[in-house]
Amino acid sequence: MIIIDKLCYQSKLRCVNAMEKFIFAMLTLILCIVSRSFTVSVLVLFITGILTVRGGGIPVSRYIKAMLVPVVFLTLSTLAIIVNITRTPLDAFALPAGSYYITGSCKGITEGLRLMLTALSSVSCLYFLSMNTPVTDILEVLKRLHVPRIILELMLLTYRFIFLMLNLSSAITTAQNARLGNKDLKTSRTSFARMAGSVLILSLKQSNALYDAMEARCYDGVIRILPAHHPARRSEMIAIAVCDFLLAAITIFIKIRR
Amino acid sequence: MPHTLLKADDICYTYDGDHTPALDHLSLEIKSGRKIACMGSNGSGKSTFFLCCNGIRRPDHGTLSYKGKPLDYSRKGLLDLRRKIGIVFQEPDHQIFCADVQQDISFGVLNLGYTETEARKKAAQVMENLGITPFAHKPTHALSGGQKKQVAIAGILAMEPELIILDEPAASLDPLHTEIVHRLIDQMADAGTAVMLSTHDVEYAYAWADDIFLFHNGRILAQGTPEEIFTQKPLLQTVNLNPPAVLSLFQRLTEEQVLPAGLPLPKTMDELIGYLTR
Repeated sequence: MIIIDKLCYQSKLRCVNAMEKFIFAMLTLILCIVSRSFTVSVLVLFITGILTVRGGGIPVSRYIKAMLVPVVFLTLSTLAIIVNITRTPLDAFALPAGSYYITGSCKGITEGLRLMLTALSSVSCLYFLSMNTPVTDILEVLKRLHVPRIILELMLLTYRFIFLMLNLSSAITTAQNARLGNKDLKTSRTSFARMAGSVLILSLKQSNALYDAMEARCYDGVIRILPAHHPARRSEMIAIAVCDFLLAAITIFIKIRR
Repeated sequence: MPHTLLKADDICYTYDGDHTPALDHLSLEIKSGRKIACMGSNGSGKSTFFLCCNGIRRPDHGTLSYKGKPLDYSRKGLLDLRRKIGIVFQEPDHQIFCADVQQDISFGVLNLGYTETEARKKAAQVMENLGITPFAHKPTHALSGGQKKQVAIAGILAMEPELIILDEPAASLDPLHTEIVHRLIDQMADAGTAVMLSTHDVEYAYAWADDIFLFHNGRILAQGTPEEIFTQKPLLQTVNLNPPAVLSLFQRLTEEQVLPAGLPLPKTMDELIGYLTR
């Protein structure tokens, strides 16, 4: 998560209008889910991959590593769909185990793979958004979509506090380790608990101080912040429209043929 | 004719659940056009006093007045007060709440009712003046301590207060950033903003301030010009401060008759060297 945060600030697509990126990611995501087709999924994987790596300048190795996280997870859950344990063997494969079979059907395998690719391509859409858009920009998009202010303000403060608390916890852990706080399992367990306790108390203190400081700057219950100033470009909007239109057309074509 | 900017009359403040008061019948008067340094050990009441100055804390007893008028603690009164008095907190992480530099700087400006265009302009202007435009679009959690401090100061400066209070502005900064912050403070003072700060740096306070207030156990132990304060050894000992090196050296040199008696106190090392090489 911290890596993604670093990446999105370095991304070359950072200054592209956030709403454009959001709409592109969401439309494409919906198309992936609606179509559930191999073609669309592969196309989307390809497009978002190219956009993130080529367009955003995110290192390929980073991208692949990030994609491997859902791949592992999805493989495990797809296995659960593909593999059945029954008394009668199915058509694709069957391993006898006592009076049962560890077995799977061809249809099940195709379905499982389809599901996996759909999910993976959906994740790639979200990766495209989060690897190229800072959280503050996403909040702005949500604001324009009329998400309640209280939720947005909470998100803003939560996001800032994640880093403050991470700093606190790493500083405390370092200080503990410097005094052999991790010498064996039992000690590290106690140290961890104490660290968590201190982080809680310290962050409460910090939030009080932050509130005072906000009041000092005339905070009156509404957090007003400047929206980022990245106007949407016509060429980008056309590209998004064409891309999603093509994907939609493919989806419809596949649906009709089925 | 300098007039009274801020006046505290017998104010007391005790934090919830504390037995000893943080401010104990403290009275002081700050004149306009003076550069004020508040000194005193940790916990002597400086920060609490600052918080009282812009109405974050309300004294339990006594009155604070700004430009002759007692502080008005109504919503509108407080907004008005905080527009005029800005505080830069000691810990930038306690002040910066946005992940985006520009957004954080413009927060106060927008609260004052400026439009987004105006706020953007003001923020850009302040960032330009402070030379922090290069990291305007970095996330605040990726900044160094010194850069965070500059952002914190920018956030207050953008609101264009009449009086700016800095709570230990150079605390835990490296020499380069200390220098940058000190230069900034001079800029503010030159631009006509009243500046009040707290510091433990005697050399700096001696060279920079027009008036020194010595805080001790929630009261003002002494006040006066740097020359008056820093020549009183017993007073400095009470608050655990050492006299500035220039002054100690100058006094020794006069005692040893290396320098003739009756020279005016030197403000800086350069002035002292001037005496010696003349």
